[in-house]
Amino acid sequence: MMTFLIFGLCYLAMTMISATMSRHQHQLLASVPAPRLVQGLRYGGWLVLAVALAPALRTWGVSVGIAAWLGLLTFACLALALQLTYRPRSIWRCSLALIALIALIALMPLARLLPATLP
Amino acid sequence: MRIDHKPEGIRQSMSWLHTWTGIVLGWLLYVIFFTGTLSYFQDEISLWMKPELHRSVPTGDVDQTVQATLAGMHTLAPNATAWTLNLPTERRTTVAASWREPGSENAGRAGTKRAELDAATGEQITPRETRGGGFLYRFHFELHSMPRAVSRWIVGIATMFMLVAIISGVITHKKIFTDFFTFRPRKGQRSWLDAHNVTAVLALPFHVMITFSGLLLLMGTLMAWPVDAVYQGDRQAYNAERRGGGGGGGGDGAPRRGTRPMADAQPVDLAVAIVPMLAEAKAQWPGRAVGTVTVNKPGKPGATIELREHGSESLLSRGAARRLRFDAATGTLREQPAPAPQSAANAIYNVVVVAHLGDFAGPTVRWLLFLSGVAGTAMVGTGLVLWVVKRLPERRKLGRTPWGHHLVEKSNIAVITGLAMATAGYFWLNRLLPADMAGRTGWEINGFFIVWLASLVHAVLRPARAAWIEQSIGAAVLFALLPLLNPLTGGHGLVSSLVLGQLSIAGVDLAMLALASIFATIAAHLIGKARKTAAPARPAPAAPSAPVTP
Repeated sequence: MMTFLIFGLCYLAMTMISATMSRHQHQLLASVPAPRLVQGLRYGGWLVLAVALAPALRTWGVSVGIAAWLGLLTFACLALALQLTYRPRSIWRCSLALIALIALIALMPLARLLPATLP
Repeated sequence: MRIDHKPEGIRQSMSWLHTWTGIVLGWLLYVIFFTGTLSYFQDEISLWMKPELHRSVPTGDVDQTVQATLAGMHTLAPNATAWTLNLPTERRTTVAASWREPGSENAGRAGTKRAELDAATGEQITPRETRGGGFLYRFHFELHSMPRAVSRWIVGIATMFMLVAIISGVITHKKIFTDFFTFRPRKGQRSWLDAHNVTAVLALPFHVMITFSGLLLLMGTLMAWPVDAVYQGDRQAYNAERRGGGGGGGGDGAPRRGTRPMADAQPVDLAVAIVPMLAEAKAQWPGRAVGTVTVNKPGKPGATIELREHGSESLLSRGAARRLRFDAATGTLREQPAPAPQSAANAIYNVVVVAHLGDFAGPTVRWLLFLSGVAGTAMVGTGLVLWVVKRLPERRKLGRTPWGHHLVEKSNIAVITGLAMATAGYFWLNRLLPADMAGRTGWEINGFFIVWLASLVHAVLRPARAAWIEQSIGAAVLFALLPLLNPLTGGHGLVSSLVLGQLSIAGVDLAMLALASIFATIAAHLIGKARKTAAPARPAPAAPSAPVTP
């Protein structure tokens, strides 16, 4: 599950970064985004990428964690590159599904608290 | 290098360097990448190639496995001075046992006997003779049938060229960031360049790591002088010091003198004594498994049992597993030898080297390394094809194919599809040669080279496109049928291995199906293209079109 979480975060980060690149903007977005938004997407993408490192370090420790993060990042990029080539529209659906799943995984620790607070 | 004597930019000179280092050693690098990538699963491949071992299915209960194999060792080697039992892992179905007979004064490996034991019953299983995945592993850095020093030098030079190709490739690549995600299919040369770039850039961290660590692993061969100078040529002293002194324990089990007087006069029932020790290990190493059980002086007074953790958690401490040593008679914990401390230089060497070997981590990371290796193989392969495709306009202009282009084109076929067929042939022979045939190990390997040579002859004799198509189909068929051959020749086929949870066996079968589908896709793509180019060619049959590879 951690593997999936890291992969999903890397994928989302790279999607955001690819949306800042003029070559891919028309594939992902209806119109050219405002420069502000582009800037935001770029910083946001790098931030998510850094966030994805955290679960990798927690699961595998520093040395293996960095290696695993880089490996998952490679294949997240590869998946995105193939989608941009063959099915650019499916990226939106994939991203939304990933956001939902990641939110679910992130909320899971909270679910453990739930029965205790309920009457 | 320009003939018109105009000044040359760095990108052009790097492009020249990249092209020629690439093509000179590209075939060798392809072979190294292909066999090296398969070596991430060399244990699994070896297991697949010894179908006799498939019937050993661990019950999942460690206590039971250890008890059964201890009983097995009592009958197999009752007089041994020490037993070492390597317990089943996700990569091994059997218990790999080794022991030393009392008479053998041969220090080290020569005096050690080995056997595979059924993990459920403890009985000895004698598998067929084969080099297994070890052949592919050795081949990727020592090639075959030449002195080790020579072949390691050749591979070392190729690795150095690889590093040159990586650096010059990055400089040559015009738009490394704008082209980051770009793949434009069906555009001829453009598509090959994109595919080469995408597999190179996206897996760049892997490529740099694997090349650099490959050089470090060959350090002893390539840069032997410093060691020779400091240790006066005493390589063993150097290795001992680098590994942080005699680690002790392990398989040799030298009896320790000067410990307390022995409390036990009569032999101990090890099967009973071991259970609380395994429980103690479980408590001390939460979430980690016991990898090795060593019994010193089994069945004699003063016996000790040592438990060793499976693997280690960090890249920094290669092989520095935790250990627990017990008195067999009383079950008291005698000592907890601490892993040898690591020097900084050692830790760095370990990180780099272990990342190359990939034997540190669980299946997730190993799969990532394997897939990165696939990307690397594809990178070298697309680079080789790109060399030919890029020169097609030149060929058309000349109206003939220069000798050098022929050579590269045919060698590409023999290396890319030929090696796949040779590897499949190696697996086929493993199952078709009689299990008790004399010299079968050698014939498996001979078969590998015979198939490879045949593919070269075939590539030379046939037109390039036909050779690509036929050999791709050949590789696809050979790989696709192997999972069927597996259960027919005594192994556990996909159904039984999946039902029994033997994922290491099922994984090899599935990987073969994946390889088969890759080559089938290539063949289908090429056939489709051949039809497309054949159709418009009909109105003008006189057009002198050279045979064109993909």
